[in-house]
Amino acid sequence: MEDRISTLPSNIIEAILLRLPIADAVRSSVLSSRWRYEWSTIPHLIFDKHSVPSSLHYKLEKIVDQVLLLHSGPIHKFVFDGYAYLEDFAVVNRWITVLSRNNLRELVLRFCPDRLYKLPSTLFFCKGIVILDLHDCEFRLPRVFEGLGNLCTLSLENVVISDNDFVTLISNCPLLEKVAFMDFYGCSRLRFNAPNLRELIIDGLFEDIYLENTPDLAILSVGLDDADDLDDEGDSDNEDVEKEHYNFMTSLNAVLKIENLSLRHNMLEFLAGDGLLDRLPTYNYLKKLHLSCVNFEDTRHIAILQCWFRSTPVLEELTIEADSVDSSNPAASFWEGKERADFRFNQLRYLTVTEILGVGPEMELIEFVLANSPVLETLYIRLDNDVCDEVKIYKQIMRFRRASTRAEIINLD
Amino acid sequence: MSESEMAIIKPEAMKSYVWLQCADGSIQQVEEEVAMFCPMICREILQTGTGSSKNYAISLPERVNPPILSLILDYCRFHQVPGRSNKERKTFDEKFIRIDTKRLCELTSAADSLQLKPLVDLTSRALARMIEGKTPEEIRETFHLPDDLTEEEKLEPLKNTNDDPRIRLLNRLYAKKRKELKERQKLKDVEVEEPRVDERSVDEILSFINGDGDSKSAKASKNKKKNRRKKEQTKDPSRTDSEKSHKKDASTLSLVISEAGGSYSPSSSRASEIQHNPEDAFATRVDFEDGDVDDGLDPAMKEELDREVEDFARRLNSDWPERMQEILSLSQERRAVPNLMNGNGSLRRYTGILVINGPSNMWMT
Repeated sequence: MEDRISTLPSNIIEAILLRLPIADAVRSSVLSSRWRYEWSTIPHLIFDKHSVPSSLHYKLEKIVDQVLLLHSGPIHKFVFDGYAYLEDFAVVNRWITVLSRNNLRELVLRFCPDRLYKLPSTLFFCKGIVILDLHDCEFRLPRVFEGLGNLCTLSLENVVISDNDFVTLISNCPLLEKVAFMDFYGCSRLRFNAPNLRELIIDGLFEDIYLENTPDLAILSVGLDDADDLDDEGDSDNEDVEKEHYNFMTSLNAVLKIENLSLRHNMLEFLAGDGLLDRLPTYNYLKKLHLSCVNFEDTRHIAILQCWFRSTPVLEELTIEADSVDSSNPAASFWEGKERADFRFNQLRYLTVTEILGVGPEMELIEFVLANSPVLETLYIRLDNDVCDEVKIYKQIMRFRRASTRAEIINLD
Repeated sequence: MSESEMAIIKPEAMKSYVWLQCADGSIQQVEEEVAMFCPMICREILQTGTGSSKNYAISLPERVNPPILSLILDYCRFHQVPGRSNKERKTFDEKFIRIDTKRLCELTSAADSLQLKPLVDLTSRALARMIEGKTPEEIRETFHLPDDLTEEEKLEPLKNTNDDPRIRLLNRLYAKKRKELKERQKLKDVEVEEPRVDERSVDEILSFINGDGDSKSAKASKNKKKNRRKKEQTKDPSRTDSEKSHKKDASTLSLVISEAGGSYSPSSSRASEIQHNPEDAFATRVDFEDGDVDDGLDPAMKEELDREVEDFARRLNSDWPERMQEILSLSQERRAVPNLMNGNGSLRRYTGILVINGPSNMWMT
């Protein structure tokens, strides 16, 4: 029988090897003389749970060492997902040195969350790098940092970095398009001077975000963690903090090309502290809006909701996660005596309301949106777990008039 | 009848066609929109203007034979239609690659030559799936690969020598030999003696190394150096008592080395390749247990020494494949034995290798 696969051109053999977990790819060297060295030039080296059999995890470092030693040619992508406990980070420094000489374009590192890896300065001289996805790391930029001129995607999670280093890093990567910044320590005033930024995700504890120069930002998702430890000392700083919020407000006024906005966790509270109301510009591109932790019994929250509704004429998808406090104020109303606004959700197609308790203002909101959304396709509803009388709530919702003849209601429970 | 009316009534009449020619000379007419789905054909049409008639057919690359071309056109015909859902496309793709291995390989190759990237992705993914998690034997069987590597070659590039007790032994020996050599050089004793054969020692040391009373008959061999070395050891006045007590081991080990060096030649052309393997060089030089590794030896001698030691390693390894075969033949039984290390079936099968070569061959599991 003739050997079919080995007559394939080298680029196809490489394409096949690239689609194999690294263990299988390396093992192909014992197949036949034709395959002996084929694996050693594959440009992607991925070490994670999937690509290395679990029986070998305990010596993952040695495996990486060996593979790097035997490999030849460029390594465009290197992934080390170190679910395994690393005895000594020195090995990682060694890998990065090797990688920095081999045309690295994409680097993904993940270690144990409880021990941070201090990034070696070598990394910041890998000018060709396009994608950086680093977890459990500590940043200290070298004194001379000329920037990463090709970096497009930066994802940092569970990292330590100072405010200054963060600003320097971001503003020296001019091509940056996507940034995800989560669980960070050591910095609290995040400034973004990134003219090409299109997507920004921030999740953590911060005092302020300043989108200094991000004219093309299309996707913004911000979640503010609970400031448990800081609560007590908060009072004396209050004035300062509020002043700092001002930057985020200014920033929101500047990102007019935003298409998808998500404000999570304490963000509503963050905005509520600010008296921004009525100050939002009109967002003519904003199609998706996601607001979480909305307390329908807090008039400030409701004011913010109304403010957003007025500013988003082309909204297509609205998602609201409620976090209401039940019956503290049974008389509360969504409209609070204000005249019902004259706006309509002319393009709204999907409304999702979750964790609702069925308190008055929540029901009013649903009623209002159903009555003013002529092209609504679906209303998704999920009640809070504490709700006892579900039937009553659903019955009430069923009775609401719908401006859209096509609108259906789907229960997500 | 206006053109638009005609298009409504007889859409097929308005279709334009291109002519394609395979390497075997056969020519066929294909709907342009379908053929244009292949970037290579598209480029030919736009840049050279060929394909418009039978006499100016587009010559397809050699790798595209008529049966494979019709498969590829099926693929293009389906995917060039706009508006199909991802699910529809996926279902089609899954059915499409349910063909025998030989045709799948041909298809991959042909798609590559037509620069039809989505099809190359699809087929190479399918081929990768046939390899993933399989043992080398299974893969060889699937693709009819020649098993043209020797067992020791298969082990060579992947082993983690630092963990291997056999290699530690080897390294100890290596260091010891360097010491000897150095001493010999001091004495400026460079005489060359006639070799003598000592088969008994070979037997003895083989069983010592294998630790299982391996009854393999000793191979007659032309030993060149062992006696010289033995002689020197006895002659050497600087030797300590403890070294003397190891004398027998040392000398018999050296017998094995010269024996192996003399008789080993299954793939001498590849031996040099292996010697230049960086990992190998790394392994033999690192992890010396004796501290007296030194430079300043005659380079030619050093090279000879290196070669001897390498051959020794190979000689040691060459017994293992046989043991592995035994274990493999038991693998069917082993499959039934629950393995706590791993729930994965394909790994379970190779428990035998894992046990024996565990530290040295991490990838073989």
